[in-house]
Amino acid sequence: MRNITRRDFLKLGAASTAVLAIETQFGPIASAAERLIEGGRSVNRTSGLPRSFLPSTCTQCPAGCGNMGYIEESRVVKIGGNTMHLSNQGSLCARGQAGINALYDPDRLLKPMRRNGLRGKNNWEMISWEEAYGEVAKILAAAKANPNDFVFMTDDLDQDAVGRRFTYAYGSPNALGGTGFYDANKLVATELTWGAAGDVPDVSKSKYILVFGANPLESNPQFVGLARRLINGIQQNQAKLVVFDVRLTNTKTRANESHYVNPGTYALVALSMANVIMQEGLYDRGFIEQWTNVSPAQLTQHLAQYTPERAEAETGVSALVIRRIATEFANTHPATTISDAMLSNFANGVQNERAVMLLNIITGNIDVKGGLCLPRKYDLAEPAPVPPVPAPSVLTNPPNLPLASHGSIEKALQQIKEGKQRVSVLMTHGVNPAYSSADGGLVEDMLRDEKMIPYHIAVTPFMNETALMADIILPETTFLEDWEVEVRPSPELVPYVSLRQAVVPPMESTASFFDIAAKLANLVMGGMEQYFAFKTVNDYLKARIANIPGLAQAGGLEYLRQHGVWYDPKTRPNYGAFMAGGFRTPSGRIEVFSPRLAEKNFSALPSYEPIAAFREIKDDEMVLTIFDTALQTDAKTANCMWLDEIQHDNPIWINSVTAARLGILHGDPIKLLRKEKSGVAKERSIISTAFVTEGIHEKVVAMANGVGHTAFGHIAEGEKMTLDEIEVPALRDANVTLVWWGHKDGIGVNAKQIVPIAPEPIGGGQAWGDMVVTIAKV
Amino acid sequence: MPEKKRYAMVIDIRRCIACHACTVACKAEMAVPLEVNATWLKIVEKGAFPDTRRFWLPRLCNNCTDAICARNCPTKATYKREDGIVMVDQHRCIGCKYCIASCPYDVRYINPLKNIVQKCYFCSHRVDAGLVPACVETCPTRAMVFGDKNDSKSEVAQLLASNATVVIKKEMQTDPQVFYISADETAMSNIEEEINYYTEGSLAKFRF
Repeated sequence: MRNITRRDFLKLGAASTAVLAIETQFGPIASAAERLIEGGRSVNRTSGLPRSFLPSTCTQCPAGCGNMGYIEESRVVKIGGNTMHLSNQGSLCARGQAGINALYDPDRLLKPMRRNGLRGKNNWEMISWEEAYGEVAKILAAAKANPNDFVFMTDDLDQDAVGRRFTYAYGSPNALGGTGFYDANKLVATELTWGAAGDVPDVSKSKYILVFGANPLESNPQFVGLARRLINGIQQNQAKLVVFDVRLTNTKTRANESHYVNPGTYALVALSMANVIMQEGLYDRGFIEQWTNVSPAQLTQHLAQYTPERAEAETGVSALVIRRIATEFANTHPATTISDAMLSNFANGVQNERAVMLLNIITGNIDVKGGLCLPRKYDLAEPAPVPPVPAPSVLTNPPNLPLASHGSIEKALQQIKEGKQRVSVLMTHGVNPAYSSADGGLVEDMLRDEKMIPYHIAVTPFMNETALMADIILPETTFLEDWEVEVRPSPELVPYVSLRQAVVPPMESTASFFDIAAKLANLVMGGMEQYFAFKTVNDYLKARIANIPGLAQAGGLEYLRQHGVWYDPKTRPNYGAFMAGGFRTPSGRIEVFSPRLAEKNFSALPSYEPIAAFREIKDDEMVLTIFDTALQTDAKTANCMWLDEIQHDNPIWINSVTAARLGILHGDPIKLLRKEKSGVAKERSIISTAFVTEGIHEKVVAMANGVGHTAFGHIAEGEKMTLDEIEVPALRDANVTLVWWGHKDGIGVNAKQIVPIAPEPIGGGQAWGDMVVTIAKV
Repeated sequence: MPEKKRYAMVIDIRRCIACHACTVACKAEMAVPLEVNATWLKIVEKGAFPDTRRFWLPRLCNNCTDAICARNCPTKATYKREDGIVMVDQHRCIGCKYCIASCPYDVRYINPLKNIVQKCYFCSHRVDAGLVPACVETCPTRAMVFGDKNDSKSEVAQLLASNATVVIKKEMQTDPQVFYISADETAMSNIEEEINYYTEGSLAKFRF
């Protein structure tokens, strides 16, 4: 047996090329040879020799964890976590590790392609990049007379700086993002309330944690960063975890106490607790008086309507429990709440979020250690010259949604459909609205209509449902071959900047989005070329990070290329940041009473607004909940075989009592039919098998998101391949011959397609949770 | 003379979130093909609505002190290292499956691409290089801890000393070296019975 000490290990490391030391900020990872190193290293299984690596940033979900690509012979052989990254601290989830499956997807698009025949027929002609750029540039140049008619769609607009820049440089305001379970309503609610988009629950230091509808142990915009700290909070810090949900999530099962809630009534639970806290005098008078724009008396009076008894009748949670938990929450310091899109993606979503925030506000748990904290992140610079943002359009600022400051992709699609915005050219980048959006059929019909969308450019590494409807495909690199700098709210409350760097060079003739955008801008001209005058991507990245204090002294871009992430090692969480200068609201205080909501005739104080459809629900009707898992990210990950092997299907969860009443047995095929409002002619329904469980509310059916693709390649569609079918040697992986799900076990069904387009009236985000379905045996 | 190394793993179920990161880490690290797993997650549901809970159990080879598989292997392909890790020499394995039949824990599989028997070796190649196993490295909540239990300063030894732990099928007297804190009795006892709440109808084929 070889016995390699750590010293030897590092020597070996130094001998191989491109191995980088990652110990600068933390000091040595292991201080004694006896101790095994916990992270940030990989060795070849046969030789035991260290693998070279490059740190980067994962984009398999919105969390943006720091990852490491381990490389042998120019091939990524393994992906691990970056121990220096403040969010994931060296670990990496299933999706992050399976990114390698996406990089070597046997169906990756490697050459530009032009459509032959009708849209959606999947008939393509391979063309050269020169021809592709020539055609696209010509069409974009011709359409530039009416720049507003250019529409750009991406997955996450916050992170797609190149796409935004390209769109504005072209002269169009229409850069759109936020498909799927994007949390626009939460962002709007938090902005209205405390002047910052989003929140960071400081859970590792909490003593009491209340969760409403969220499932941070399986899915959350900060997934690993939050899950890890939540477990630390409940295990090391002995915090009590209390969860309210409509189904048994992993978070709910891990809770000290949990309760099922009638769908759509979370706000009433929270507001009745707030009522108890005010009535019993358990509130933080000083905080309310100094830092909010309401008085305790005003609040007490408003909340009086939400008695625990009323809450019991409507939410199903007993008044006794509500009183007890309210008292515990108010008496335990510090305490916080966790909420995400599963709370705010209802018709009453913004109010739900504000009601839950209120619990933190009246108990003084705002931006304190262990409380609900303001998000901390760096601002990236927009490299000069900065393209001016063109005047808003009906797509970016849809009428009737005056407060929807984080967009409303579903509403925008509807506007195009109704002819309120003309489209000359649609460019989709790494986004798949034909799968992700509500009313999937509608988007597909739109994309098929050549009058509505005369020209569709898809920039994508994969042939997904949306790319299938393109006129031309520009094969993009995957995130492991790409460059960008990223900032996200830090779960550690210390801001950081993370580099997404190419771990390997672009495969075959694929190109990074930056290169594609720069090339097109310089061909289209008409002034837009000045915004893409960078010599290399490095110039662009350097300009992006120019304003981050301290980074230049640490080595700037070169530091990021070596370490993947940078934060100021001297910085500690600056709790109570608002005390210097107040909150970034018009009043400088937390706007519990929102003048902006009042002005637009919405309830200005946090309120419970019952969902009418749930109150009228009939015996054979159920509320459909579509949930994310730890294994699939909406439209993004279904071509990863290691993930699909675990989750490739989505049976319909149904309560055992309900199932018995309806005569449904475990495994029966059942149909969910959209309850139509009058005037809607087209029937929308889906069929899947019944998963009879004790872990769901009696009036709720639930289905997992992320599966049920009708395009996206063999892996996502559950089809075996032979190695001969794969042209490019680099993509030949014998595992493709072993795909065992699919035909036999099913690949699930996209549940989102039957949800009608329904933007939340304040936030504009899709109200996914409002769906009432009729249930029937097939 | 210091005591010999004895590698062991402690899995604290109170910290586990059933995220399957260990399952995928193992696939990547050991090039485990589709259809089979060396590390996976068992999930059971207990109780009637509304008092329902799910219990989970990360599963992998126990690297037993008294490894029945090693005793039964006719070609000595399965052998034990001095530090306790149970290995399979791929060049000696003839694929006779005696070890699969004799393993009480159902952790061995035939690699469908190579037609030889494989299992978890506590990532012996990583341990030799001074690294923890891949599943331990990636675990988002540090539910899995690995080390030399004969070294009283190691985290594994300290966890074993300060917590009640259980092993699967203690009655088999194989002295398993994967210890669980706060594991559920049902999850521990019927190791073949499990549910998959993402995917119905595929239990016979795949252990997740």
